[in-house]
Amino acid sequence: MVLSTRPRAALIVPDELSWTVWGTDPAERGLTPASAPEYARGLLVPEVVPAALAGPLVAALARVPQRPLVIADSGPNVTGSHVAELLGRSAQGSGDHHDSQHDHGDHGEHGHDMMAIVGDPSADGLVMEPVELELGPLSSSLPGGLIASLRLDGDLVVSCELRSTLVTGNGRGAVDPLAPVAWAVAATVATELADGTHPAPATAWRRIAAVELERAVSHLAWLRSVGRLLGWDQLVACAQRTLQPLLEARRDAGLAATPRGPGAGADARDLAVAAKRAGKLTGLLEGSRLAARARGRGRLASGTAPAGPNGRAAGALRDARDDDPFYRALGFEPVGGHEGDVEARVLVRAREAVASVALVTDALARAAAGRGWSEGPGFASPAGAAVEGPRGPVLASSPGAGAAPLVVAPGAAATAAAAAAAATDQEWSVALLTLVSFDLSGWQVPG
Amino acid sequence: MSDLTTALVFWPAGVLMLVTALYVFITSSMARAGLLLLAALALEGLLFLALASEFLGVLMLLMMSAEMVIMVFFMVMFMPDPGGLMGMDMVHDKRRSAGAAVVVGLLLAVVAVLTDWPAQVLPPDAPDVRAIGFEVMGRSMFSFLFAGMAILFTMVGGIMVAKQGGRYGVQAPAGEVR
Amino acid sequence: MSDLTPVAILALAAVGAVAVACLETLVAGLRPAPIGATRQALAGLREPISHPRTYDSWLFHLAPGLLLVAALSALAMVPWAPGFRGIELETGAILFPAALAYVTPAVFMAGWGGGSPLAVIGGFRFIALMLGYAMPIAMVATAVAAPVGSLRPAAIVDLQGTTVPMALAQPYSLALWVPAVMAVALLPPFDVATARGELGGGAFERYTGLEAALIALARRVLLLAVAGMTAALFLSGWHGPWLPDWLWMAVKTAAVATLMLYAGRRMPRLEIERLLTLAWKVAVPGAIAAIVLAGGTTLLFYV
Repeated sequence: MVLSTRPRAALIVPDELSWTVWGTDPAERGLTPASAPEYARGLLVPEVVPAALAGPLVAALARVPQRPLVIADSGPNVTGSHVAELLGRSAQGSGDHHDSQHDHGDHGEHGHDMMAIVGDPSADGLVMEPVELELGPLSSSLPGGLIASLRLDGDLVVSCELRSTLVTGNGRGAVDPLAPVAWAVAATVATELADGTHPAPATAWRRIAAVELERAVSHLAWLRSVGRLLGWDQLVACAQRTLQPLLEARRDAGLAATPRGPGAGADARDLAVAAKRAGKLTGLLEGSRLAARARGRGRLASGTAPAGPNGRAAGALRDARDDDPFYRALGFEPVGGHEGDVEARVLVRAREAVASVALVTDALARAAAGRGWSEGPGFASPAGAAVEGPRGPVLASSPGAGAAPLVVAPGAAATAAAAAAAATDQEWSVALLTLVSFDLSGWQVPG
Repeated sequence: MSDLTTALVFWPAGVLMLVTALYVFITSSMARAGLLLLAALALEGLLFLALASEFLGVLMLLMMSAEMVIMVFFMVMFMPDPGGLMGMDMVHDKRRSAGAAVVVGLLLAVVAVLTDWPAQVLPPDAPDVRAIGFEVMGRSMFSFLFAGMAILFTMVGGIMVAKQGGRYGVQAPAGEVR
Repeated sequence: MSDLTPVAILALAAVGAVAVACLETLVAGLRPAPIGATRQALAGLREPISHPRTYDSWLFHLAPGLLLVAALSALAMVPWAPGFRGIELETGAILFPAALAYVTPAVFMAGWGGGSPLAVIGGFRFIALMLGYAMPIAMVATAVAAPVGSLRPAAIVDLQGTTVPMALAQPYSLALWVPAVMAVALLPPFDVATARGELGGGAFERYTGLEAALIALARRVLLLAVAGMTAALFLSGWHGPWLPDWLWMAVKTAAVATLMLYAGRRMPRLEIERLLTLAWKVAVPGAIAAIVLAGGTTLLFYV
């Protein structure tokens, strides 16, 4: 049995999940995310670094002790600085150590008596100095680009505000870089609906396969990051082993981008192996080890049910795939939970990943067999196109022939607000797990 | 231990112990104060080891590390400015306390000089563990038992009196995991 | 104990640290590369030391040294073979928890001196954790010493050679000892202080260069010491058929260390509140009960 070598700890900009969704998994390059810049021996960065990350990246590089191995690859279309310029800036930088966690330190409330701490008592009746902490856009625990402004009373999170700082392209050409296929498919379908054209059956099935493959890859990469947060190496390894054949299949079938026509099929063995490993992963998560950390934690306030898997985990079984004839033909059933806690959100995504792998296998088989469907176009909704992306529905409408379609992801802001509310008044590890359990995106998507 | 080795460990450790203890009151950072006190008490454990009281020395080293860390914990919890950034003066009521310190110091010095200490040269393998065991289980059992209980109840009771509600404060029902 | 013993212990620490590092990579399912890892560690020594701008930064710089001293002192108490018993003291079984007790101030100093809020949280979490778990270590050491009538670790090993291993005679003591020593050695799933991923780099976040190397060395020496003492106190140390003494001890230590590392991989990190609840409601009363039961077994079987 050939064992692989120890991966190199690296500063991965913006985060590991993004790279897995865009193209090459960092693990395939032998990189693993470093928990702090001091431990980083490598740097994985897009050639054009988004503007919001430029400053924090330079600050983080100042904390990296020796010159890291830099891997720059093409990333999403953003406005920002070129990585070479940032590397040059950090090389000339002073020995000043700024924090990418912008901690403002202890700000006492300034009363007349410098010794007394004045202010409102904290929850336990004592007047304490809260600690303000900003988990920056390049935090190893949070999605890249997400800034969490936290107020801590000891190790309890007293208040939490989230904001996404990364901006893609501009205007109507914007695409959510964490769900590029779903957005592109939505835009294409909206245009086709406006033009009144229909895609060929093979293309339609391959679109489904691409969307489901993106969902499976996104969910599995997210499960891997949850494993890293929980310090559960077995989960990380399991998710990695499940991702590997899926990424192979994605490459073979050419489904990393929107399919425009018939293409190669994926190796059926890859998909079968991925299905089996995804089943084992779900079995691992259904046991008591996850329940001990996740059951009952981070419950959504009753009445709120954001769109996407977070809402489905709370009982609101809304899924844009419900009425789709193609999905019905594949035997799709939405996956949901009841509790709305962290465990439910994790299990919903794990089970959706398993279901997605099965859907991919079936869809590619039908594409290869050339079977069509006559009950209507796929991904259609009354307003235009509706695609269920990994984080929720993506709606597209085209005003008319020739104009670019308008694509939105409703509910992204509501999800962030719900996440911040669920993380309040929790102990640090529970709060962080709650924030991560919502699978938030650091990109500002129109919605 | 030979006389020379004992002296080489005893006197420097003793002096260093007094110096670190003095710095406990000069520094204004709570963390530093607690850890300097830990250093002083660890050196005291070293003194016990130098005087061939192996078990007591080891016990000092064992207990003082945890106890001083508890003290740092409490000081950071309850005192203003635990970081020492505002240079708080750690000594209060200076004239009276200095007077009391001088008086008590003189009294202790008189006692130390005038007492007839038993002068014994112990063989290196003196069974002190056994002797201490019999002493604790016999004559001293009550005092150790009550002292231990009193300290524990004081610590726990002090926190319960100062703090309202449980871990999450007054508004959460007790024991709820949210 | 000869004059060479301290040198031998230091040599054992250096070689043992490399062996533990290889074991860690093996348990993670990766290929161990001892030469590459050593070269990387030595290259790390050339990195500059980081100087966080905090008020108590000299606590930050003292912490790695204290951690290493604690780890080496703990290692010195472990008896490896009849001819190499470490620094043999009459109270060795109590000096071992005493040495481990200095890991707590070291981790606190590292966190507090580092200054970033997450590092400070890591330091305080470790204090809270070890207040609960330091007592079971000392009490279980006493419980295991009771049948022997001596606190000398080599005497405890020798008694197990003539009777049964303490793992069979006092299984409850072993059940209390293993989580407690895993907690003190900063091993998952008890690694709430250095929670990689949850607290950034945790209490040791800000260290680079020589200090980071000292901490990495100290942590591996801690694992070696803890695994070795477990093998000595509970698995009858160097006694066993066919193989020479030191080899038995090496095998048992490696087995204990592998089990500890493996268990850490298979579970998510425990929450600090659950750990504290277990410590104060289960471990401490359990340790007191272990002493009582040990006394009973001593009177019934060993006297």
